[in-house]
Amino acid sequence: MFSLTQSVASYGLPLVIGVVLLEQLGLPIPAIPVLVVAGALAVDGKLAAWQVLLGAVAASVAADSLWFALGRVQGNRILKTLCRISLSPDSCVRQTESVFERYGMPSLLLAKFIPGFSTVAPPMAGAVGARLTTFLLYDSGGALLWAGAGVVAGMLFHRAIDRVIAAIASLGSGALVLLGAGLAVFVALKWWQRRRFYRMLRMARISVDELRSLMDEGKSPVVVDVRTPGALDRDPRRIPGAVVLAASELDARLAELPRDREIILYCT
Amino acid sequence: MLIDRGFRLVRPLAGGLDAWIGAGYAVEAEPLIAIRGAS
Repeated sequence: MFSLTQSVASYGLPLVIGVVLLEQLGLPIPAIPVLVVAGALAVDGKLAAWQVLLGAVAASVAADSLWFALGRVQGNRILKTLCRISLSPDSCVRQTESVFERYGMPSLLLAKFIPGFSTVAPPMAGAVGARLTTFLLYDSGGALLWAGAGVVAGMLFHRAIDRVIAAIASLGSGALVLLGAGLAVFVALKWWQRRRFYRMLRMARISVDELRSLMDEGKSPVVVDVRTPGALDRDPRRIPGAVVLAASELDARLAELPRDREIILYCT
Repeated sequence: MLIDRGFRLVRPLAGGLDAWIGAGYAVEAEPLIAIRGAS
């Protein structure tokens, strides 16, 4: 953190823009601490708050526009790719679609405050065919709220931030090592959970050939299409005989599912 | 979710709809509005 302050003070605006751009492109670089420190430095007159805000918003919108274009060109494939590299990919696409379908383009205003949704929302907007001008309007608003929150927090709490930085600096490099170790443990835990989940799924999954055989043998499994309504609108193709039942409708329509027959679930 | 609600015979389809289509099996493509209207 001490070196972060020195870096922000030394490299100023280019560092803020670079970090925001890289984070919004999907790299695991946290930009909020940089924005907070930049806000604190703005109080001391070392940076101009409006320049930090403008730079952060421009960098964020530039990165998001690239994701928007990829979403427009590649559709759901880019969402699947993004969700595959996230630490919690299991329900990533479905949850993103649900949030986006529920709140529409205004969800971009708060997307950056929701881990995971931040990176997936812009390509989602592209995939659903949103207008570029509408996207830029909401995405700029969201970037301004997000960057503004970081900068304003830094300005409001600059004294406390100075004390925290001084305390961390007094602890020396040991504090950074401890922080890094904590982060490494968190990432390792998520990775292990993900591996365990995939192993369990691999054991439990049914292949398309097995399902075809079950259907041909007349065993009549109940095939359930659990895609969101928006995903179904984009691609209405379904496995023959499939029951359309979005996860959000599950509780209300539970009685339609038999307990004595095999249930096969699928999404995209 | 279904398993949490007491369903025991539940399996996800490996690869989802993309794998089904990729394997060359037939699909229905009736517009969803017709299904919603019927239910």
